[in-house]
Amino acid sequence: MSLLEFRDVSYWYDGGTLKILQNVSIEFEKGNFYTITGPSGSGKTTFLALASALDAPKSGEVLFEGKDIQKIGLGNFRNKYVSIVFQSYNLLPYMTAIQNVVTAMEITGSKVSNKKQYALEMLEKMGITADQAKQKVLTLSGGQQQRVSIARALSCDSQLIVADEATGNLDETTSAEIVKIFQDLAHVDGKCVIFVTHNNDIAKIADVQVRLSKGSVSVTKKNKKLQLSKY
Amino acid sequence: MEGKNVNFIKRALLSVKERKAKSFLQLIVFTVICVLIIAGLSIQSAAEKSAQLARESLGGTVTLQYNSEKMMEEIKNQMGERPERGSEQQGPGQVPSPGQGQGFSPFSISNEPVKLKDAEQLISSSYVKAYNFITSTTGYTDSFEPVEVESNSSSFGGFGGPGAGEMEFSMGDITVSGQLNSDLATAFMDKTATLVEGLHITEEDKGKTVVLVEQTLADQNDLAVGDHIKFGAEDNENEQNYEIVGIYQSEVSTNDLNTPLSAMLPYNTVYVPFDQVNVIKGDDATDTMDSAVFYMKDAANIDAFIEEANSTSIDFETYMLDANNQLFEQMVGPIENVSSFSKNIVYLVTIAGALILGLLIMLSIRERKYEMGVLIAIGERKWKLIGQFLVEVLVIAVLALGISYATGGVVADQLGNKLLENQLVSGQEAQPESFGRFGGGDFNPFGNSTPSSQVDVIDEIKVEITPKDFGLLALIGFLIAIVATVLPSLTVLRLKPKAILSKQD
Repeated sequence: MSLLEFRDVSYWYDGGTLKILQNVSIEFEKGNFYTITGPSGSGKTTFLALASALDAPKSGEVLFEGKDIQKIGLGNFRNKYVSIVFQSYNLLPYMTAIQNVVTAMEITGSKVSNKKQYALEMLEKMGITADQAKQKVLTLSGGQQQRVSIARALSCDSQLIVADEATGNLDETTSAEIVKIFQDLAHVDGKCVIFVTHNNDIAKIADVQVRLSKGSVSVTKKNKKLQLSKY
Repeated sequence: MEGKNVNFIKRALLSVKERKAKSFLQLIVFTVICVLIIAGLSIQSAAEKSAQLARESLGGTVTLQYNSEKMMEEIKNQMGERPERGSEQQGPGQVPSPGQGQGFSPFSISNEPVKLKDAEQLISSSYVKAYNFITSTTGYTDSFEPVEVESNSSSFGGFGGPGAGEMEFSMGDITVSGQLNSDLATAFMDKTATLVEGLHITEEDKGKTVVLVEQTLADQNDLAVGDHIKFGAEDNENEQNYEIVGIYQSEVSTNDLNTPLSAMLPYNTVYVPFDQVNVIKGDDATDTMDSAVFYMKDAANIDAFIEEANSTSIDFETYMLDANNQLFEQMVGPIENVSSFSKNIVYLVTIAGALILGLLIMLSIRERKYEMGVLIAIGERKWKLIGQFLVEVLVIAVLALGISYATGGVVADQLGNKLLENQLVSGQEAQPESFGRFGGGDFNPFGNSTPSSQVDVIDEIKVEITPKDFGLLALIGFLIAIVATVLPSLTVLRLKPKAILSKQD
């Protein structure tokens, strides 16, 4: 059984005059690094919003482990089953890096006993030092903030990770490092990673490349072992 | 699970701490609101306390008597309708008119005496500690010599104005004061009279021909306890033989007296059981009295007692229960105005405060939409976001309450006394010049006018924050915090994280 499935999903605006997705059906499995690509206005962000339960389809179903996520409850689904990484990091500015991670763990009801220690480990795994972890997030660089947001997503131990242009604001080197992290999350940790991007170089190294165009999807499966070295 | 439930509290505390400027602004606004409210509440409490003290200083007494307002109306009517009339025989229920004679129109008032059965309806009230029945009349005697008024004041003049002239008056020899319990008579209660020998007249003396006489009178006539004296109405009518059971001494100096009538000298007042006065007055006065005085167990019970009395069969069109209300109003009038003003302050500040704070919080929530979008995207419940805002404001509220407790007393004291001062000044300015007639007090046809100089108008209040005031402030403060937070926060319920985050991006 797939982890996440779009079944005949449609989405539109303005009472149906502006159709974004039309009867889209696609499955996502654990251990794969997916990229969602497509031109501007093709519905990438909408697709991601539906995958992460930030929104619900106008018709059709989004299933998680076979269950309609609307029946699970969108808030409940976000809380328990999915982690989101945003292009603009979306960290809480009045908190330190470690506080951002711990807050997410508390909200999602992480069962880890020493959350602070675990958050620090996650941050260090993402390349954030202990000193940086204690700083307010706004004092960190863009790349560091994105690492913090990934650490936040990882700390919640969700099987499904969705990332929206997670490298869009980063330089090439940092982007490569971040993409590598996501790939490892899929290939090493066995998570299902859905990575929205307009960067073809990243799309090329995806296990499965999903291309959105005119409301429909086309899927291209690739070799899992491809890695993005530099772009 | 526990951490999951309270994470919004931790987040709120962190937010208050880290968003120093905004927290400080909210703290200032909330503190100002709290200080004004606590000032208003404290001033009200102080005013209530002052009113209670004023009530206690006037004594916890309520007097059942003829309705004086009705009597004043009768006087007005008679003065207007009867321009000239000869002197009238004074009888029970008629008021002596000191200005009888040339140029002064006499008037007669049907002063309905209080019925014994009416007074007895009130004596069993649980609020009553003691009671006294009072009635008095003028007495005439041939068996002893009353103390005479000094010659330079023995004639009566000057009241009636032009034409009144000087003339001799015969208004009896003595004042016969009937009491159920003479130790409760005003003179003894005021300590202007003290029993020096013998016994007071008590309820048990009802029906007995016993009397208390003043020492000066006793000395002048070689009277002692156990002796007998005779007195009655004019022309020896209803005269009886009374046994002296006690001698008292009046502390009133003759220099303080301003009476032309020897009968009105305190030395010539004799106390008898109240029903004996009725004997002198005649059959019409049986089982009646001028007034019945009820002493409350607690002055605070006066209103409750009056309310209880209103449910009896006593005709309060004819009679009234007087708790020194006019004096009380004079004393507490300015402070009650201050209290009323401070009550308005509390209402105004509470409403305005909730609005101002609500607007501040609404602006803050608008600014924090992004933060809320992030938290909702992570999976935070919306009610917890509202909870976070509420905790943030409550933290500020607690700090503001603490500051207002520390500083509110001083502010309230200053504000209260300044308001009272303004009230007193405006009260003096508003008083007409003619207000000074009859000594500036209430004219009473019985002659016991109460000059306002005898009344100490409360001109200072001691405002303190009581635990009750602070408790009420805390309640109002928390209500303001809740209303000002929850209403603007309801917009959170409509938030869609996708919309927030996509706008942010």
